[in-house]
Amino acid sequence: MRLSKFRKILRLTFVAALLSAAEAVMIKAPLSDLVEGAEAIVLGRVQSLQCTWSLDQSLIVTIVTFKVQEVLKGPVSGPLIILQIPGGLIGDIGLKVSDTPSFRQDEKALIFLKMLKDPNSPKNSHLAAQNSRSAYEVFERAQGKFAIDEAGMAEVSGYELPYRDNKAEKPLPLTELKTKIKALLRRAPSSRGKSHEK
Amino acid sequence: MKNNKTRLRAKSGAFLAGVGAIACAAFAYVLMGMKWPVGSNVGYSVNANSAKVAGELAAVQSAAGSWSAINPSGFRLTYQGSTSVTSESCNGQNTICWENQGASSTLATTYTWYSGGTILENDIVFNEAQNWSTSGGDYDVETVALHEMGHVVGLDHSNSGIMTPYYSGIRRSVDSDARAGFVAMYGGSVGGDGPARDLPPSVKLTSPAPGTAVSGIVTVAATATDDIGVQRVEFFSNETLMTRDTSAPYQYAWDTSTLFNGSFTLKAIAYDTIGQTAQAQIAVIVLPHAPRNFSGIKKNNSSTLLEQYINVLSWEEHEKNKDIRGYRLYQRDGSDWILLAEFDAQTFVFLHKNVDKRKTYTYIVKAVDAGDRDGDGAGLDIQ
Repeated sequence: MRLSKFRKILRLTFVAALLSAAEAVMIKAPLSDLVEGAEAIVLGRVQSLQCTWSLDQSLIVTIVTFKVQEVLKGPVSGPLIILQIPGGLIGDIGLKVSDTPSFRQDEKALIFLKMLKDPNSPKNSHLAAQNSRSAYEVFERAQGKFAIDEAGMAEVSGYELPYRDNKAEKPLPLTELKTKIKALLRRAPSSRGKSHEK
Repeated sequence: MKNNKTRLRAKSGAFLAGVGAIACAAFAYVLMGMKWPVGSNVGYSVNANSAKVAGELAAVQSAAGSWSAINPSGFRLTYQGSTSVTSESCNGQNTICWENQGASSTLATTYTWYSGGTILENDIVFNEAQNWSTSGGDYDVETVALHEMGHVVGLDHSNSGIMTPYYSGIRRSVDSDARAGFVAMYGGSVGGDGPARDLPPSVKLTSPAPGTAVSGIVTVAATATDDIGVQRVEFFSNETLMTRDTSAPYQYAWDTSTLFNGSFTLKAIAYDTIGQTAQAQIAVIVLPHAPRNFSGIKKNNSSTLLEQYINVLSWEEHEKNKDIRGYRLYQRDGSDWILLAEFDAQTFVFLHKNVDKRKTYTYIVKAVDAGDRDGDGAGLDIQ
């Protein structure tokens, strides 16, 4: 099926609504590793979502257009960036990829970013290839995205269900999260290993 | 799977309602909202291409066996052999492989293709950049495979047991919560933590006997047993697959006439119905082949004044003989064979002098291997 037809379908289906929660086994990445390893950290809002096939037609990816409102670590390419997330839904065919963060239309989020590696790769989308200078992915997948709710609470959104009962991972105020990030940014980069704690 | 791309429909509204994670109040399991059809026997192929660990295939098979043992008639994962695929792809094959995804917190990723509430394909990609182990160190392959296969059957993350999102040490059995989630989708008995397993098969090579020297067509036979059922037995000669036998008696005719002589390892691998394996192997010796073009003629020895006859014998080396120590020439004497002469490996002619002009002589020449074993003989009558 032609890509243009995909786009037409996708506009109709307004795929935006939901990418499901992630699953897989990971190593716990502490906030310090996220801050140190991310190329950029931004706060903003999801403007749109669009699912498409990768250039080689082997994967479905979701392109999240994200409006940047504040840059905590940067620089970033501009006020509008795109995030490519593996997985998505096109018509009645879906791909669910473990560790991927979830995004919702108009959702406010704080995201740890890295530039999308090799945007012209066949595994990436034509949208990433066309916007290679503003194409990012979420650093450390689901662990690198904090959803911000209306009350201003930040929560890692990739693991909604398991996090709910985990005291160490309960939501925290956005202001507190930003303060922690800024404090970590003021530290000199170190060569810490990853924490393997659960 | 590719064909599905041509039948895309705008059904996402109904679909989205189906994929939301569903938590269970009584147990801690969470369903993804999609699953394989009940009764599915899902085949998977493995590219055991990790350079960091040995035994990853067996570890993956053991994890698959743990899930399959819960209710084999409701759902099972069956190993279908190796694959050369090295990354995830929508190709209609359920693939497990190792790919270097660089330094990150990701241990493994499961890719689930679905339509509505039905899973169509799963790929599991282990991150080769991590330090894998099958013997207790670093990240345990079977533990991670067990978790990822939980996603394969349709389980989402939960707060306890094997389906927690973070690695926390070795865990090689399906806990009661995850088991309850499986049973909710595919039936079976919840039972307790650490379910009864579908035991791996056993296999024994019964013929030829270990260390036997063989030649020509050899019957290689094995017995295989399993608590549920033997799916097949594969026979190998020096790691080359010779045949697959799916029913007892498990055997095949091994033609050694086209092989170089020497030592061979015969191996039999038995597979049970969920892909668990057992293997047995023995070493045997393939004897030298009979020399080529063994011929002879009786001649009057004109170099003497007396009437004297000689049998002039000659032969050629066999192209499939190697490491030949020499040749032995035997002559029939009544019902016995007596050694007439021995030669080095470069001698191919013998003059049997003073033979009887009227008598028929019967000879056999054999190549001798480095272990001083006679090979097959080439026979000849001279009148």
